[in-house]
Amino acid sequence: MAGSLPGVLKNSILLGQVVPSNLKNALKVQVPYFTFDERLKAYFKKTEDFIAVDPSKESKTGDVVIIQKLEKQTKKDITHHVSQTVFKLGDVKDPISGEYVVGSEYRNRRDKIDELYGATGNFKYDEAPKRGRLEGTRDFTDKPTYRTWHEFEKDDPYGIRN
Amino acid sequence: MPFMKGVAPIRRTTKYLARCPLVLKPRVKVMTVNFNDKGEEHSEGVRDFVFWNLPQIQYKNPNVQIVTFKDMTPSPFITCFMEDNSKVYFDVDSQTNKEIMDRLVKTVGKSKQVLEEEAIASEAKSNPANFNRRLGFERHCICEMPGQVPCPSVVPVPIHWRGKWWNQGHRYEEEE
Repeated sequence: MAGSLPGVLKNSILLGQVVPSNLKNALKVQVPYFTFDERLKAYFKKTEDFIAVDPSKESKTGDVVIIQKLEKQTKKDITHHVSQTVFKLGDVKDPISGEYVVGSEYRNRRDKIDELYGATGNFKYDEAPKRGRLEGTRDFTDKPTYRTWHEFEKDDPYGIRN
Repeated sequence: MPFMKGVAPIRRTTKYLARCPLVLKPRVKVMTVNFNDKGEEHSEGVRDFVFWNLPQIQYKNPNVQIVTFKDMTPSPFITCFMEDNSKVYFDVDSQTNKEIMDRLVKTVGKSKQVLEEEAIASEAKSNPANFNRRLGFERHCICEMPGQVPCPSVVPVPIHWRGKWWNQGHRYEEEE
């Protein structure tokens, strides 16, 4: 398995996105990389999943993180640890200006426009609690979801029955 | 250019890919490009950079992870992550792709001099005309090539070809 890994993935640091997983004390991080097709002379995107430990326990699914290879592996599967968070899902900070950003708009500018229009009932980023409060009750992005077909008395919220 | 389908297929030629001035310094491990799609004028240069130059950069730096992010922030920027967990930001708002490339070469790229030295060093290594099996070349001596003088350890060389005969004065002797 290690022999077939492309050179990029053997780097000491990698950038990836945290992906939903059933792991209790670790995170699954999906790392995108490009492979070169010799005949077409073009790059095609591939992804590889790594299991990383997050010592600060701050990272949630959807965050873009930098993972660093562990010098010594205590468990067989845990190969990396999260060294820094690049972007937090929902609270993206533009590193050049240092302001919080929503898509291609600055949050404070958006709030000013909302105020001028007299908007009520909009989502207030400053007053909202940190992400993770509703995990398991309303937010089901932390663990992978699956399709379920049978109606149980007590339905698993992560099983979708559409 | 055979098999040249798609938009701007010249990007898919080896000659084009190899003509990249940016070879990243070995401590750069990840390069991230954040830009905005369609319409935003300030991102036009970065969009061109991603379209024309990113494949070139990845070709010259196969072990650097290159990632693009679209429409995440209002202004475009490029980030280079080093192996010691430090990062360098490049604010590329309203810059053309040539300007961006030149700036990257100046800051995180190997200089032309270093590249030339490396080219010379790699030529010496990969030249198939060299001998010495111990150093990785294919042939140990010219004696193993058909049509050349065979190895003197196997077939003795004619005595009048030997430097010993010549220097001992035998060439002045009368031939029998």
